[in-house]
Order: sequence, then structure tokens, then C-alpha cells
Amino acid sequence: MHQAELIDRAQHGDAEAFDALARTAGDRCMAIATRILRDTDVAQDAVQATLITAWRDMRQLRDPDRFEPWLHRILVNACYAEAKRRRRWSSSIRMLPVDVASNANDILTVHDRDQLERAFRRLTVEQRAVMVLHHYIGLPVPEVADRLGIPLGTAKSRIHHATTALRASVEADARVPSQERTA
Amino acid sequence: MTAPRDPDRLIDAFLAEGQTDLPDRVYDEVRAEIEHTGQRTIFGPWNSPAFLRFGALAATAAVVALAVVIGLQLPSNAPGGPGPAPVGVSDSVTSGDFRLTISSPSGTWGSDEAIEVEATLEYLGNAAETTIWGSGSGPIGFSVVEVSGDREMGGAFTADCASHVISAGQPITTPFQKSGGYSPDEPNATFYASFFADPVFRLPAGEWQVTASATFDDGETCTASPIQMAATITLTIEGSAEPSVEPTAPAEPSLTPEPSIGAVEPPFTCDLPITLAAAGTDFHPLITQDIRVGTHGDFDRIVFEYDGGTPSLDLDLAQPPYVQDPSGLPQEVAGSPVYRITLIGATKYDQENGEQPYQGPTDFEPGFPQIVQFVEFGDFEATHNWYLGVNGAQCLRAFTLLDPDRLVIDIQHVPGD
Repeated sequence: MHQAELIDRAQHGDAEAFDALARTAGDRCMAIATRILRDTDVAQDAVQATLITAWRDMRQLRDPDRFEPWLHRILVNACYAEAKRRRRWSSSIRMLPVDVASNANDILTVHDRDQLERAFRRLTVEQRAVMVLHHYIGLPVPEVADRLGIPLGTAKSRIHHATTALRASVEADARVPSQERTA
Repeated sequence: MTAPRDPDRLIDAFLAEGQTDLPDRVYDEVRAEIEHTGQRTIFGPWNSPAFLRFGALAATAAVVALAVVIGLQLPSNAPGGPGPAPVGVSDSVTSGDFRLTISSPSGTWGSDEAIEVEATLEYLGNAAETTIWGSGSGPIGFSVVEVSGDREMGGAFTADCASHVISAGQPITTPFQKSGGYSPDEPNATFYASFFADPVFRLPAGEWQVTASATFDDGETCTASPIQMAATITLTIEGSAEPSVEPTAPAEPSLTPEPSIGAVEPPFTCDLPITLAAAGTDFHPLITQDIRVGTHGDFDRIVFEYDGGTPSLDLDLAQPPYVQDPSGLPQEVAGSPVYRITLIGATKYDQENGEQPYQGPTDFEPGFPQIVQFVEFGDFEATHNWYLGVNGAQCLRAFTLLDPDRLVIDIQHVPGD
């Protein structure tokens, strides 16, 4: 069934149609939330809250072609809420699995990953969101601003500060290649 | 010897890592939840089945219909004159029981026209009304950003905390208001001076995004982590690329509303927690410039100094065991009781410039009447944490001061101190 038809049905209370929609979008939401929140359990909670909110507010979606951007805005707000709700999440956070190193084709050393993880955790959750949408999803900056509902200047500023911080975390190591460690 | 590595590639590789699959369990839980969760009813043209079926064509018609509705509500000097009716633009965002909408009766304006924009904050919950807490200047603020340039204005709220009541069906409506500041030595200072000198909202030719932001709490008072919503419309301005109003005076350093707190020190309070909202941070961590402690006639004082705003504060009693953040290692704190001071949006480390302006002590034992020990226990993820051990339970107060930006905590002496 075409997505527009699923949306139409879901907006008229068809839970089956919404379930099908959720399954087309859930993995991508999970990928975004995991990268923003840096914790798979918290990310699952954020995605679950997102999908329930989306169901409740389905009739606010005016343009079916904008389903994904609309859902992602709800998702990022849910990530903010989870981060707020678990203000102490940083101390009990679980690191992302190290065994994904092979997926990155050995570009990242263990030391790189550690440095970037520390630097990323120092960012505000709002900065993380723009970084994930821009660098991971690959959205241009105006689209990031639109998807998050923030001014373009704010999106530019957040990306600038976050990128600068992350670059700084790995550039010092890059200047001393003899100290590079293998994954 | 290894080849030079591209930091941006490393960042991309880092962000590529991580889980990408949502477990079936979550889908099942969502399905179970929505089976007994109703959908909100929306009052608008997009609520009708016909609208949904007609797709983009219906969307255009709906926007026109919205423009007509807005035209009835706003003063009628929208641009256009004879010819096609102006097409309104709007954007809405919903968070929980609240919806923020920004709208303008036209998406295109002349550079010499007074642009009409307004924002509404609606309460969608089931109660007859609700109370929210936000800036004394109102829960809604506006900012303006040039799409293809680097000029941006607005986004300032005063840092005080006030309650606002929203009744169901009676949204808070705020017409566009200018706010913000600029430095006279920045490249666009002449334009900013002209913009702020103009009593009406006009823009030079180009594409501009206008954003309404709402920042508020729906609990008992302002907290460090308010609800934040933003809705944005894009306006096309035709005509002159030059500002329509000449600056009336040399560029002033700032037109930001003065925070109402800071001029007068608030009374001491024994009710905890004490919270202050962030001011002027635009979500960027503030870099600690200085930390000072002192003693005065009837109180001891702690001062955190920043540049460009003040972070949010949460001051509350701490319970042992006291631990360091984020290591969790035990931390000894002298004095009783012990307060926990959390500054959200602040850090000692200026990562952008690789500097640390404040390199003074992070453990004070000054021997003052009240401050027994004041010690940092964490500076992590833009959250700066301190413990304050005092000489007996006291009343405290917290407030901000300007020029330079300071966050002040006073601990009242007891008689005989």
C-alpha cells in the first residue's frame, strides 16, 4: 500500500495502517535517537514516545509528503524530553558497543572513538541533534533548520560550534601520528 | 608514519556507528498503546478527508483559506493591492498539550511595507485553563534570520520568571516584537541600528526566516529545563536591498531587554530548590570567566562570572553520599547542610578556542561565617556542578547581575556570625 494511503487511513484511526507506517520509519528514527542520546535504551523510549505522539497527532499532518520531516521533528523533541527527564543519564550511560569498529573500515581507532565520544557527550542535546541530521542523515543546513523548527542562523551556529569541538578532539591526535593506536 | 587523517571523515565515521534497528518489542508496545489512545481532533481545512485526497492542490487552497481567516483577524494593510490575493504563510509545532503557531497574511512583502506577523500559543489539554511559567516579557519571542546572508536579529527574553494563564480556546497571541542586541563593531552594525530604530517591522529585499519561539514550564515555577518550541515561516521581501530607516543615532551596543532581576537583590528564601532560567545563551555553553567568594555584612557571597549570558541554576539540598560527576567517585564535603549547585549550560572549557579562562581554585575553604567548603564536583556535558557546605541551615538567594554577566548566590548569616 502506498504511504499516502497509509497516512490517510491512519489519520482516520486505522491502527493497522499506522503500524505499517511506523515500521517503515522506525529504524531510521532509532538510528537518529541512538546517535543523539548515546544510549540504546533511552533511544528506544524516545522512539516509542515519538510513535505514540505521532499517532495522537496524526491529523495535524497536513502534507503526506512531509511525513518523515514531521515525524523527525517529533522525534527530536522526544529526545530533548528524554534527556531532560534523565538529567543524570550521563553518569549511568552505557557506551555504544565497541564491536562496531569493523563497520567503520578501521577509520576510527579506539582512541579516536574515545575522544569523539567524550567530545560528543560534552555537546548540548540540541547541538547533537543538528550534527546527527546534518552529518549522519546528510540534510543540508536549511533542511536541518526546517526539520527542527529552528532559525537557520541557530542551526548554522550549533553545527559550527559542535563541529569545532569534535574536530578539536581528534586533531591533536592527528598531529602526532606516531601515537596512533589501532582498534 | 601514517597518512594525515581528515577529522571530518572521522566525525562521519563516528556518527555512522551505532544501532539502527528498532526492536520488534517497541513496535508491539506502540501498537498496544495506540489501540486505546485517541487521536486529537484538529479544527482546520486539513482535517477534512477531501483535503487529504486532493494532496498538493488542496494544500494550496487551504493556505489561501488560512490567509483569508488571518486577514479577518489582522489589521488590513497587507501588500498586493489590485490583483491576486496575498497568500498567507504559517507554521505550527505541537509539544504535549501546547501548540505554537506563527503566521503572516502574506509570504511576500515590499521592502517599504510594515510586515505583519503574529504568533499564538494554544493550550490543547482537557482542563479549562493552565498556568505556565516563563519570561516576564511573555512566553513568546521572535527572531529573524536572513536565508542567504548572515544577518540575524532577535531571540531575546528577559531573565525573570512570571506566570501566564492560558485558557482552552483562548490562545496567547503576540504580534511580532523586536528584541536582541548587537555590537557596534560588527560588520552589520549599521543595518542593525537601522532595523532597531524603525518602529515598524520592515526588512530589506531577500528571503528571511521569521521564527516564533516559546520557552516556558508547565509546572510550579521556572526551571532549568523548560519546554522549548519554535515555529518558522519564510518571507520573501521585494524592493530595495537597503534599510528603509536611517540609523537615528550612533550604534548602541545593545537593545536587549534589561533583565528585571539584577537591579534589585531578591529577598532571602529558605524554600528550596532555588532555580533561575538561563539568559542569553542561545543554547551554547557559557564559558566561566571567574569564580569568586566573599563575605559581607550579613551574608557570604559566591559569584560566577560569564561572558554573553548566564546559565540556568538549580540549587537544592544534597544528600550523602556526595560523588563526583561523571566518575561517581566519593567526594568529601565539609559543613552541614550541603547544597548542590547545578549550572546547566556552563563550563570552564572553551572548546572552540582551546582555552580555559578561569584557572583559579575549584575548592574553596575560606573560613567565612557561612561558607565552610565550596567545591566543584563536575564539569561535564556543559553542566557545571558544585557542592556548598555551610555552617548550619540558612536561607539563600540567587540572582543575576549585568556588565559583566554574573550569577550570584548569597548565604545569609545567622545572628552572631
